[in-house]
Amino acid sequence: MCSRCHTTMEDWYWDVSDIKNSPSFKAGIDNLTETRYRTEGAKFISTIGQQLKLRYVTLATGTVYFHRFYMYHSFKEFHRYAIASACLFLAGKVEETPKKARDLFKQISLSGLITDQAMATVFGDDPKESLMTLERIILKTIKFDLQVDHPYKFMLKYAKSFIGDRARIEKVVQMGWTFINDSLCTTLCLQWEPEIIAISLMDLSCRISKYEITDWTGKPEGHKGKWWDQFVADVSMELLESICHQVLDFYSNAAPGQQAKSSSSSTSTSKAATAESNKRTASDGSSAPAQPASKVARTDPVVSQSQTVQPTATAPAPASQTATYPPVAPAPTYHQPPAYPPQSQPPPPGLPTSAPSLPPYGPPPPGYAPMYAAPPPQMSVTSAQAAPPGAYPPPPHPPPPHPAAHYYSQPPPTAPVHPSLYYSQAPRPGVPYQPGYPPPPHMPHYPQPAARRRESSLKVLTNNQ
Amino acid sequence: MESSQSSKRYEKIEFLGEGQFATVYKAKDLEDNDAIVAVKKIKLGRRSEAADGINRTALREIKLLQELNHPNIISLRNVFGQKSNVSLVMDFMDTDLEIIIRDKSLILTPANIKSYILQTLLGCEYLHNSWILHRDLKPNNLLINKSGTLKIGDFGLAKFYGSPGRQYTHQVVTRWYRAPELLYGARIYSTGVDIWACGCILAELLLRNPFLPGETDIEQLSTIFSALGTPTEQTWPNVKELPDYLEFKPIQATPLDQIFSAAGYDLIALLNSMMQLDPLRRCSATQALKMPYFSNSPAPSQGSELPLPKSAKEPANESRPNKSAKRRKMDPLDGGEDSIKKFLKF
Repeated sequence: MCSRCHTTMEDWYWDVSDIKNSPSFKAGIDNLTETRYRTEGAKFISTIGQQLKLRYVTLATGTVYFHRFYMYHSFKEFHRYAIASACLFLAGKVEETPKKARDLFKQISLSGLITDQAMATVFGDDPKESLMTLERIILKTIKFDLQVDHPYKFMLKYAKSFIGDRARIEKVVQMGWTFINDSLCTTLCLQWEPEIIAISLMDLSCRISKYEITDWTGKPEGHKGKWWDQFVADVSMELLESICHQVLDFYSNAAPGQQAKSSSSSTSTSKAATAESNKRTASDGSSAPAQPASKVARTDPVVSQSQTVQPTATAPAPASQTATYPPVAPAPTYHQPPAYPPQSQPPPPGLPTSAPSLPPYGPPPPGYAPMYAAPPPQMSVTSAQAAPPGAYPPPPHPPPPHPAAHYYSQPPPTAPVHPSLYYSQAPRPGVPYQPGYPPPPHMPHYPQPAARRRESSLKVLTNNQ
Repeated sequence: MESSQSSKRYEKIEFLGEGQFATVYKAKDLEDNDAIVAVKKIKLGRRSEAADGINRTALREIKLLQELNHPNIISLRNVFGQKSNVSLVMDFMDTDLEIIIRDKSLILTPANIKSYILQTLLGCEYLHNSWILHRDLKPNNLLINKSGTLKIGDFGLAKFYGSPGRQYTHQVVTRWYRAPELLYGARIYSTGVDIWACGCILAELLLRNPFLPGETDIEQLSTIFSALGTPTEQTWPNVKELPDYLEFKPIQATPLDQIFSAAGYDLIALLNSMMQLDPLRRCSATQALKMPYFSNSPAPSQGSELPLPKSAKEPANESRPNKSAKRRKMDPLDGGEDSIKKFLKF
């Protein structure tokens, strides 16, 4: 968040200990359950979002809002699916892929993730109205900081610099892409900047594929370090490992007590999924505290726990319709790398033909809009980055006196001066033009969110050199 | 920042205006040395309108303005939400360029004009270097304060760009300032649309009237072509491939120095490069700023030398002309000049 806009600068990164000591934990929800709730919320966003054909950026933004939200509120206070729906709804608007509330609800009910009976428990009596209320609560909670960067674009950028077997690199990136998808189910986005997550998961993917990146564009002569040194300074192996472990742990923890049968079952409402959820229902029922459902999705109501808690408005749902938890991912262990593609998002299809300048190995996701292609016409990315002295040469011919010159007492500047200097007090001939703003980001999309980095964090180089 | 504080932090001074999506008040920031600010309260509308929650225009404005910081861009000082709505706190600006252009009692010297267009282009350069298209530049959105600083405002249509091949809607920019490629239905466009609008604004500063006022989209095109000539394969290659291309009866371009006979050659050169029909030949904001016009005399007026309309010079609590009296009737919240100052209830 821009420090100028708010008196307190917002920091969106936490230590693991803070994440463990979350509002939900303080409200009596144990860490394991919270982890499960976070995963379920993230999967809900991913499932509904994909069914609504939303772009991957929208899904990722919504998920980050979701995780940030529950650093300020507990899962007891707001139902995860209600917040997930509202985050998706808001992210749709922010990322310019808006969906109508009506369509969102239609899809939710089609997907079967929340049964009609459970709707009232999750959203209250007036789902639309409570979606609007939740949207405002989310906006306030995330401090109106809507702009979020994701690891995807950094991974693509890094991959573009690799030199080697294109086909292998393509596979590596594809696997890395899936890791990013799945990392959204974890709290990694609350701990580390997207650049660092992208590097870690790319490295993980390389190691699993047994492919080493030995050469890349811009590699200095005789460089002994790693490929990411040119992007982020001082990334320790311990840090990389800890990030990778968090994603791998997700695969092993994702389905405790379940042996995954099909990797695509997470989004389906097939019989197998129903059966699995029923099993889950039975086991969850004992651990979750029974809470009366209040009006707007307060408490932790129990969409699929109708055996233990009766929704206030409706009769208990028949057992066959209580399957509302998305069955969780297959759980390959650490030593047994996950089968690809893992559950959450299908690996992106082939390159769109409209993006000739994309690297041929790119894993363009559905709806991928190339971000690395040529800078837009009329813009030179490098021009504003370095404005050396004399960058603005004098006009080709000595300017003739202005016809109206004698009207003005102010003498004309003796030497051509960049106009911006007029606004820093008096014209200062001979002073080189220094743009008063940071150079265009190396990624054409956003200004670097430098203000957001926590102090302890790694130094992210803004320049590729 | 807690909302309970935010609502009391801003003391309402007067009602300023009402747009499609927001109501704007002038207010005093009690936590910042009583700085005068503008509070834009986003309307949530009636239930049927609110079906899709907070307005996308407002979200865009919040998202983009939080990332920007430049003297010629309106700054977002704070955002706060209350139970049922959202308010944006921005710099208070006394007037806008449209009021100045229309106020024929004001004299705009060449130095004044240079200052306005310079500040506009500097803001524009910053936006484009941050990969943002404004898409709605017009005199009405160029806000000016008492110290003569011009700031680009209203980011309700602005957008990140820079994904080649990404398609955008062409229904942007108020018609008189809309570039010909938009009128021809181009879905892939770039900074050229903002530069064209800047060119129209510069021309309007010279003429003191809109340069290209078209009543309909088609009339807009014919207005453009009657001034600048119809595009040919030479002046605008591949124009025929645009989705809504229409053939016009060929018209010869009138040289710009005949239309703007009082303007110097350097200004004509700038105008000419900003108003190229072919968006690829139009200059960028940075190129425009490097043109001789800006280094030639006269030097652009410094802030305090710029003219201000009467309305902006008046102290805020004096009664304003009939227009605001009418507003007062419509807006029961504003209790008139005698009422005690109220705290904003958001």
